[in-house]
Amino acid sequence: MSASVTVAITLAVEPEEAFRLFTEEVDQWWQRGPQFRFRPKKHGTMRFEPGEGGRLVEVYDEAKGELYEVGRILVWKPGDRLVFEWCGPNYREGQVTEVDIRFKAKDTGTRILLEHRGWETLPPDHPARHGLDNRAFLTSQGGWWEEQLTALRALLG
Amino acid sequence: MAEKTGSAAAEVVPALFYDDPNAALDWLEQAFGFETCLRVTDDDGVIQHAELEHGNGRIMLGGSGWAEFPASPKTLGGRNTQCIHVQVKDVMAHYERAKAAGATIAAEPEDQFYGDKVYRAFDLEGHFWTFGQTMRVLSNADMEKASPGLKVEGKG
Repeated sequence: MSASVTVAITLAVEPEEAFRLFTEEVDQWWQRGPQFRFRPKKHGTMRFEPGEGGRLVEVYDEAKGELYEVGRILVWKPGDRLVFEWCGPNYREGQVTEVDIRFKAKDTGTRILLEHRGWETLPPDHPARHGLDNRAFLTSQGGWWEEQLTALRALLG
Repeated sequence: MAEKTGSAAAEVVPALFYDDPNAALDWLEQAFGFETCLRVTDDDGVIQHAELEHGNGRIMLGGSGWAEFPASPKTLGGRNTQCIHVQVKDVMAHYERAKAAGATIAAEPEDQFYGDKVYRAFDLEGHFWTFGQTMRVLSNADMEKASPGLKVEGKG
């Protein structure tokens, strides 16, 4: 097992549409500002490169190919599941976390279950933890994703 | 997911202590129809904190061993100091689901003088719950008539 945080939200659309919103519209719902984006002083565009082997990136300058690579996409199953690696800007070699999102149909739409795991690869004094103990740190990560998913749901008005 | 802060958010959020929070989370989803909206798991795979929703209500759950005062009813001879009440849309369906999932029924569904049908149950570690559905909306005077000796005040 590994340290993880899971958050969930229900969107009033079919799983295929929820998956499309999550991926294609990522720059629309991904919150802006240094708390959410990867290079605080640059404004970029969040983008999923579709398909396994693609990447989640924040693009700063398309022409120059300047971007931040969050991680590789490991599973790409539209309407069902999306898994990608996640490396923060201050992660070192071997420090990698993973985001696993499942889209489950239910009577009121789609339940999105997002698990962010692999936090044991970040040592207790890692700067990403901001000096918080494991529980407080993971809870704050949960709050971070809750804000993001709430913004995703807000796309639907 | 309910907003944590905002007009639609539950402002009172009970938190329950379980010896086995992982088992409790699965059980509460299965038996009582809660939906997990936040789960924090440590390096050993043990849930440190979780939040579950039911309608616009929310509970938190966690372990029992992190300080002197938290305890599961399981280790207290089944005694409880409080009860969580949940208002549901179909109390009979809820009752059947809970029973099928192994809830210990403490009182069968029964019509109450105040117009609700209510049943009582213990969960997997002995926490005490009640579930009700409003079947008839009664005035305070009607309730007093239905239960002589009680004075009913306020807006129920």
